[in-house]
Amino acid sequence: MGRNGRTGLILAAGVLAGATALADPLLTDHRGTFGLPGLIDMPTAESAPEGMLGASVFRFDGALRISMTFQVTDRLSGAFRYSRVPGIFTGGSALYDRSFDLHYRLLDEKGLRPAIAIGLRDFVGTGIYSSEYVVATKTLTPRLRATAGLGWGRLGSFGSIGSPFGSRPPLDFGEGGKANTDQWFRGPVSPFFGLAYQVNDKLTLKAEYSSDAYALETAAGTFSRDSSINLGFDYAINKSFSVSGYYLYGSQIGLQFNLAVDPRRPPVPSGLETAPLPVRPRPSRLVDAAAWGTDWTGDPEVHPGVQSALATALAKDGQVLESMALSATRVEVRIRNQRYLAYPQAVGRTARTLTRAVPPSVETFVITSVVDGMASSSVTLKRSDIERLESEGSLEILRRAEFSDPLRGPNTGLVATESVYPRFVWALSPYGEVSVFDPDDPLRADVGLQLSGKYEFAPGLILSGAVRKKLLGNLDESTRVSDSTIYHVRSDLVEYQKQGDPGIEHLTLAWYARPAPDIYSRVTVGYLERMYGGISGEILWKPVDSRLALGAEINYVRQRDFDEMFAFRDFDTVTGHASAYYDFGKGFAGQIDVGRYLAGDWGATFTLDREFANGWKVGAFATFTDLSAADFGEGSFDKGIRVTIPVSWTTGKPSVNKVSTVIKPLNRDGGARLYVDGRLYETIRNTHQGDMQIQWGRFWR
Amino acid sequence: MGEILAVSRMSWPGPRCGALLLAMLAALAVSGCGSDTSRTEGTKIALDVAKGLKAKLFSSRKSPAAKPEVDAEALAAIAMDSFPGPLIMARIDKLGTVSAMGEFGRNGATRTFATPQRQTLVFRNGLLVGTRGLGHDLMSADFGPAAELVSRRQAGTYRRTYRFLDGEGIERPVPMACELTPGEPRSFSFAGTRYATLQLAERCESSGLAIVNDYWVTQGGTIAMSRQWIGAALGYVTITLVRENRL
Repeated sequence: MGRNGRTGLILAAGVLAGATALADPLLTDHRGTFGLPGLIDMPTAESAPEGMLGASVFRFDGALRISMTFQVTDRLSGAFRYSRVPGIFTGGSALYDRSFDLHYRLLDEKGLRPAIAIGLRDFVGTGIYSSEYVVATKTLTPRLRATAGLGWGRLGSFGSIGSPFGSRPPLDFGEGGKANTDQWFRGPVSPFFGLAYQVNDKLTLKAEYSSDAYALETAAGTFSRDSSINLGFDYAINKSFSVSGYYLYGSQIGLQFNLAVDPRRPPVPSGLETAPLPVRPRPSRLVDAAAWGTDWTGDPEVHPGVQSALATALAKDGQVLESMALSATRVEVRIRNQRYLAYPQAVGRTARTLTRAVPPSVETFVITSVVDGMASSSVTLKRSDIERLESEGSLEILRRAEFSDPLRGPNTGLVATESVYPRFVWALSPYGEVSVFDPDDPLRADVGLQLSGKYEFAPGLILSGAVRKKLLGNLDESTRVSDSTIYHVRSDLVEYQKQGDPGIEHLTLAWYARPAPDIYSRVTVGYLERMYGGISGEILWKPVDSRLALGAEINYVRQRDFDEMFAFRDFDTVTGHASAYYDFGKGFAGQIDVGRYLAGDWGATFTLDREFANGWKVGAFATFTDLSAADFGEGSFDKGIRVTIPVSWTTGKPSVNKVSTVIKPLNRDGGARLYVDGRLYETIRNTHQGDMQIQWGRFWR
Repeated sequence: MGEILAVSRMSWPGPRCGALLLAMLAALAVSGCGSDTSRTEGTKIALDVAKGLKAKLFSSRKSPAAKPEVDAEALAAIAMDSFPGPLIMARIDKLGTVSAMGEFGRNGATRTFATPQRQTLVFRNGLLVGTRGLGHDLMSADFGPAAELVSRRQAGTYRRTYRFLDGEGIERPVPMACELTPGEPRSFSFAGTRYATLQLAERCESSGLAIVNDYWVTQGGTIAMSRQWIGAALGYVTITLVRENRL
């Protein structure tokens, strides 16, 4: 529609919003066949509850659509979709395609005014679902909602009433992956409408008049559009699962499965764990003045005795006491937290254990978190506050806690706990590897065994390795050969999958250190990842109380042989980035990496994450480099989404572990970064003040 | 720290290499072993989920056989024999648990009682101010003049606040308006002690939430028995005094 049209819409919104009253966001659990809130094929002006993640699989003769959705903010919804449309690709074969949608609720329902939303479907893909819409939804009765809207593009392909903003230029998708801005809101526009009636808590019925002509599908002969009316139902099996069935276009039956996951609603309650040790208060100074004496400082047995008892008590709580400094009035303990995802819980439990272990004259507790051998933050607490506030709200103790960089503390008198180093851990565990989006076989997988080990010589000096042996799978059956015209820095993945069995997944020696206050450093050498080996160096600036962090990383790497053993191929490169990380607050965090990628292309990666206090993260990233879209190939640039789920969320039991997945529509050679384990920012950030404050509610847990 | 009596314990088997070998033989590894939990935990969870599913699928559809009514007196007697400190009996209907709990810590007016599995209830002057290790825990509570009124067996109105963690782990206060009213006298015996009490009902309301805490208080101000709200998910806990002081 261009600028005028949008301005007009916003003006209209302003006029309507003039009559103020409290407006309610129009929320729904029901989704259309494209995964976002909707009727059947047509959208509605509703949103999902903020933070809700969804997945849906829709199947009928005209298409298979697998959608992942996320309610990014209260008003903004996003979707990523993988679809298969039979018969419309060259030679009558099926078209496999990925697409992204955005949906924004402009106005809430209020009085007589309906909720109004605007949306873009398939706005960066190859465009087979490209369409734009403005839609209004009104609650007529508590059970009945009516929707009417105007659609462009595919949604303007049937029953058009004209082209208010000019004709729609033909789609020039090139390699795909670009926003089709010149098409938006251009060309024929068609009205659509529908109703959704909630019969009861489980069942909802839907009917709509569709403005989608299904021109491509009809032309391909895979589908017959005999009617514009679609009918359907949604049935909620439980809070998370629902199933939908449709009668489509007078000729087809469609079926859809939906999954909804709310990161704020764990399937089990948190806190299924051993209760903390209660505070043991000191005897009153008036009653027992002798107990408060400091003559114990002259006894050489006290420090080791306290340290040993404390180490044992903390070990039962998953905390490793790495070192301790004890004086007449102050104790500092350096703790490696191996149990609690929320560091405040580890600090709070350590503080309570300290009240039972150190002599009464010690009033200042300094609890320092150590990650990979780096002392990364200190929380200083007064023992009398711990005693007084044990059963109060967590804000009381937060107000009295001081965060600081351990390197700015006295740093004297620290005694390492015996037998903490060297430290060896190992595991024999199954692994799985999945390949999706391969048009020949959209789902391939391997499962096998992985033997991994980690040896820490001293704080921060870590030897780590893993070998894999496949047991079964079909990843090696792929016949796809990379069509990339530049050097195959990533796109020969299939060769590694075919030949790297068994393979050395990684074998590295890493050295983490704190060269100066606010500064962290890492050097890693060896077989860094499956495809590259070499040396990686990183430095990070991150004050304990800062929202901003800055980092730089430089790597010299050589490509590994396909057999994933010790040999290298004849390709080496220098790659590296300067990075800025910023915590915007309200659960949003951003990252920009600028530098040189594996293929020698220069550019930047932009990442935005929605983070939840319980450790969930949902983010999206895109990389733009000086590589031309033609050289990059299909997709034009690298992009994807990533999801992190804390293990403790799924079990209710304490754990520091998380499961992370990156979903990329394509794996190509442009904008490709090196994978290195233990990048500094993610390693240390949850010990810093920002993350700790958000999770502080667990201090007394 | 007082010694905690052991009445029962459920074992939670960890991942074992034997299981892994077995799985390998079946050419389908679903377990893991080793000392690096960051790598073995995922498979342990998968295994637990599978076990849970199996239990659900293959257990008889009948409702679980009605648990034999726990003989609270007998449980109290065992607890008193094995634990020298102060003791209470706690029953949480929603969890279906009855447990003797021994005093685990004392910090001023705050006392912590623990089950043998170290789940705890925390009281201040007899009023519940926290739970730990149960899941859906009550994190803390302020109750204004309630404890004083209860021990004096007097009526009153006041505000109090409960605090919980939400699904994200953020602390959320739930403020409530309360009214305490004396009710009927009641005498009963438990664990060898006879109590002559007056019942007091504490009715509290928040937006869309109404709860009632009941206290049975002796002339001397001891809460011999109470039924107190933990939170929306766990409901109420009934607490009976077994032994107030250390032997």
